[in-house]
Amino acid sequence: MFAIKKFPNFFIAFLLCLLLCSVASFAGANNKRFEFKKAAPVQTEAVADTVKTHSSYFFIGSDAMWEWLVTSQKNLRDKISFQVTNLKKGETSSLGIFLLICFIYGLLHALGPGHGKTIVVSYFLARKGNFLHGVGLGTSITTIHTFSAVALLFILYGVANAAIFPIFESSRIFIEKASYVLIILTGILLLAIAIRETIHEKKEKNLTPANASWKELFWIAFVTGIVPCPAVALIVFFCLLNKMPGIALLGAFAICCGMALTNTAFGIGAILARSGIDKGIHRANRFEKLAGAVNTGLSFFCGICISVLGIFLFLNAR
Amino acid sequence: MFQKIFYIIVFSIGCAAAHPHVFIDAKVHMVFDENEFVGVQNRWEFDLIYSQAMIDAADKNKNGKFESDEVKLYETQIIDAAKEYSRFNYIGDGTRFYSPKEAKNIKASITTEGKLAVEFLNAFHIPSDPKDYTMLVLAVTDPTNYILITVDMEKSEIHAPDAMDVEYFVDALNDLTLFKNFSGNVKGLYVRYQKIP
Repeated sequence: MFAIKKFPNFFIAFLLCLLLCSVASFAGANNKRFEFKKAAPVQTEAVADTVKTHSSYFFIGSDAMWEWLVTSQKNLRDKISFQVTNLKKGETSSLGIFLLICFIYGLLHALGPGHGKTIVVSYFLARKGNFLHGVGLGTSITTIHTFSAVALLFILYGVANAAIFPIFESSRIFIEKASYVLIILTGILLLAIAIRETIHEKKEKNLTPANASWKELFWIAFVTGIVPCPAVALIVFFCLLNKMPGIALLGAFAICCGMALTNTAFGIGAILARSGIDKGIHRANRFEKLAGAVNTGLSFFCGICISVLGIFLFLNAR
Repeated sequence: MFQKIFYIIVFSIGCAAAHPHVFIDAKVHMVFDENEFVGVQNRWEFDLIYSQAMIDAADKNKNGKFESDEVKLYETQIIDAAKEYSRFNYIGDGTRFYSPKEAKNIKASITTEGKLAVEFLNAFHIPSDPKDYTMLVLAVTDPTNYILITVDMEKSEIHAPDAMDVEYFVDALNDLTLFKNFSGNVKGLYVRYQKIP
């Protein structure tokens, strides 16, 4: 082989040189454990540089569970791009798998903030709703959330044809912040309604809890869902770049269905919890007197929750 | 009952963490010169979907390469946009974080898989203390969870000249309250360095 046998000394010298060169680039560094001592507290403002570390990380569950949730989304996104590439090659059999992956991606992605779960839960704890209300709110939030992204992207793509994603990102941030302000206002509004109803109840001695109304539901769906979903936008844009607008719309629809299922599940969970509270109060006769107080308390609590969540999302928006 | 309601609400907020929109596979190296810790050399490889959107935005002449004016978009949209988040390179000494200075040697390329790779040096310029070791920890993460950065800290390299004595190891950040906002999965690269007299 080559001339190694003829020139063994030259070969060894060459290897040694290679080794020395690689060692030289890490010359001063040793992988060695030592006792890490914190620096002395900072005395002056001049050296106390600040960087943002505040996070939206607040997770009940193990680190492994968190890792699974985020890496699943990463893997699903990779699979979506792979299937789109297959579809571009003309492999129509990939369509079913693509839509299924989009659906699962939507299901998991809706667990993130800004998809309306907390609003849905808070609303149905404050207001007595039925199964149809739960499906209605869960579905309408995600439909508006998905198709606001699709519409904005198609418009920008039609106008600029390319180089639109940075424009989308900057427009999205403004819409997102405006929407969070509306969520704060919605919370305040629910709180104001609760105060008005409390005064009304005291006058009329009416202890029945307030029911959910379609008017309120659609307002909440609008203010919560109007933020265009960047995840949907990226997938739609990827399909558009591959000249597949039909696939873009189908994919967005599948993601929307997945997200709707998550939101609806949270909504129905809250409706059942609320119904359980009401039944529990009425069964235990000694608590019946407290029914009005419980209703009022829940309405106040949920109004505050929605406002606080709005503030939290506004401060963490980027 | 109220406890259950509270848990429902807290859980629904709690799930807020699972929300990345952009995915980066990162490689980071700590760079020293004879007098100081210069900065963190980054290589960020984006997921294919985000890559295509950003490549399409920057590569105006569609030649698959990025000229200096085309790289400018990544400098503003990706690198400088993250400056307030320390460009996702958190350098702390246990009591405070250091702010990054300039971003240097910015390069962009497209991998064989069609992904966007952005490289840059995130400069810090923290001089060596002549009397004792200077101790630092590097953590790489986006605390807002908008971007999921996957980095194997064990594969991070330390680039230091002979004149600088550097020791390092990789470990969890659990014992440092400075990093309490970060996920428990984020590992730290602990270093101490001193200029050899």
